[in-house]
Amino acid sequence: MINRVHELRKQKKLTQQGLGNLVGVSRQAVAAIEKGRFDPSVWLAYDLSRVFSISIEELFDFERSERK
Amino acid sequence: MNRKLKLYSISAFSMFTALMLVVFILMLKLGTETPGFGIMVYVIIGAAAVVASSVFTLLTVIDGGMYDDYQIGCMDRISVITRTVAKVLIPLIAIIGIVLDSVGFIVCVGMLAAWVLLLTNATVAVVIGHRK
Repeated sequence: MINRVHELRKQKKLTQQGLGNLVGVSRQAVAAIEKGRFDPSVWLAYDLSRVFSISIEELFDFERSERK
Repeated sequence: MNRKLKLYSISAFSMFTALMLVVFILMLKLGTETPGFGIMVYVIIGAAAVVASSVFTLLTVIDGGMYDDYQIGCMDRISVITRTVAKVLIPLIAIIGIVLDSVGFIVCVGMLAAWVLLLTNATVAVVIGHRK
């Protein structure tokens, strides 16, 4: 799924491991989300949006992403 | 927290390893013949396998043995591959054993082959769980 996780993580100067620790997932999961290889669960998407203080729809581009 | 405890790979691996050692010891007691190596070699391999599985279990439970959805997905994909290989390999070993007319070959080599595939799953679980 197309998302802004990488961009916003860099803005907050967080490492992938650091972001993973904040939302309770592994560094590999964060890397996979950023590359669009892994779609997060609803709760994980919610936690990510809370970290960046934006809505889920602003963080994940549902319009341009392919529905699975 | 969005993590799940997932030890099924290690549990199946540990239980099968113990079962394999018991079978090898039983075959030793029954005096079963095996082509190539003696049955005692398989018993020694089985004992080493039990030690290895204990180490793997410890490595997995250290740090809570917690996996997230992505890591579980990776392990599931590897598990599908090993199961597919097992479906081809085990019957092939059985056929070879029948041709050789050796029950010992079927049981010992078959169980060792299955153990190696379970070892693959367990190794992936440990590596994924500890990769940073």
